[in-house]
Amino acid sequence: MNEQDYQLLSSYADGELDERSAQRLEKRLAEEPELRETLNQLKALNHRLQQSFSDADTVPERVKAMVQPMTGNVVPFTQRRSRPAWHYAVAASLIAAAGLLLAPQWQDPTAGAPTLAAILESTPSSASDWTHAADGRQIRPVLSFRSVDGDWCREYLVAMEDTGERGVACRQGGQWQVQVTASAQIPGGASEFRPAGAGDTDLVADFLADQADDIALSAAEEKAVIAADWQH
Amino acid sequence: MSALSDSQREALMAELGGLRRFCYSLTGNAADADDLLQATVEKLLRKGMPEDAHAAKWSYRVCKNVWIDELRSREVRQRYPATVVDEDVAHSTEAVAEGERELAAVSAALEQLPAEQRLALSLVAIEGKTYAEAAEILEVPVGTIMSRIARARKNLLQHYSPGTAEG
Repeated sequence: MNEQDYQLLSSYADGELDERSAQRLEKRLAEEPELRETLNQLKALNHRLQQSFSDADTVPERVKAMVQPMTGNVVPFTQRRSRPAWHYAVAASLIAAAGLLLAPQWQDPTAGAPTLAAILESTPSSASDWTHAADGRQIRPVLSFRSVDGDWCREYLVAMEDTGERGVACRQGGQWQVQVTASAQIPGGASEFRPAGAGDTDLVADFLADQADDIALSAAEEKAVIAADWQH
Repeated sequence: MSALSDSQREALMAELGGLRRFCYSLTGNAADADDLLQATVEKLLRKGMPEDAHAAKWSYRVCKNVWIDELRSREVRQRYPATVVDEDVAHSTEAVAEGERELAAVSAALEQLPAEQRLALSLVAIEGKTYAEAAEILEVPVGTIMSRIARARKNLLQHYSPGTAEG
């Protein structure tokens, strides 16, 4: 088969021939078995290509979260109260796991973009994995818990170029609302950390102390809650 | 803040599934497809899109460019094989589930194609783009798309038999 006929058949299989050329080719197809056979091969190939890749369109959540439109909502939480000792322990272990050092100054909380919301909605808590968000920010949910008001809440970390942020967001009316954020510093490569609560202004630890209804969910419990779209 | 408007983000969101499939057809495995998709999205967010750009064409074009860049840098790396661990070996020897065998076979066949044939064939035969759309994405004339696809199919049928499925 010459190149020209092959190209004709290929274009015909794609529905790209104009009407006149298509009719001419159909006439020849009726008379030339070799042409018919090649066309069938091309059609079969097309079919197999489409079948093979039909399930290849699953987009990772981390990529979806990057693209999600930005419609941030931030509710700073500024009160400070006392807290029972176990909350120190929980918060301290979080910081230990994350290797983050709390900074005493407060950052204007601007981390409430829905890229974050999408990550909180579907990404399991982790002691080491970061999920890419818009603009190179990396986000790591670190734990999930039920608030005293009955809402699901998650504590998370945000890593930017050389600074970081911790925050807590709660799922209210189907949306993740940032409740509190605090700046955090990532120590230069070291595994040093300062326990949560050691600083004077630990809003996140305060929030956990005040608002957590019970201890944090286990990985299995959290998985079940995520699978149920936080409707438990 | 990213350079994409909310409406552009929504338009891009609608393309992600097709883009992921396109990435898979170019890279031949899920992990590399995810990486290519993410690199594409990162570039789109960083560089933005012109107001009047068609999100589908623009994003596929960016994806193509990221892939070509990656191919080139891989060529450079392969000139110094001692300094690089070839991850592709790990992918190809991974045990694949029954349902994924076909995909692996097709991907291996696509791997044999020159990059420009693989791009054209992926866009038209897998993504369902018209020749005109593929021509815009790849920035070549429609006639070039037509001949690249015909050559791609001819090459592919030499490496891979699609069986007896009668059209």
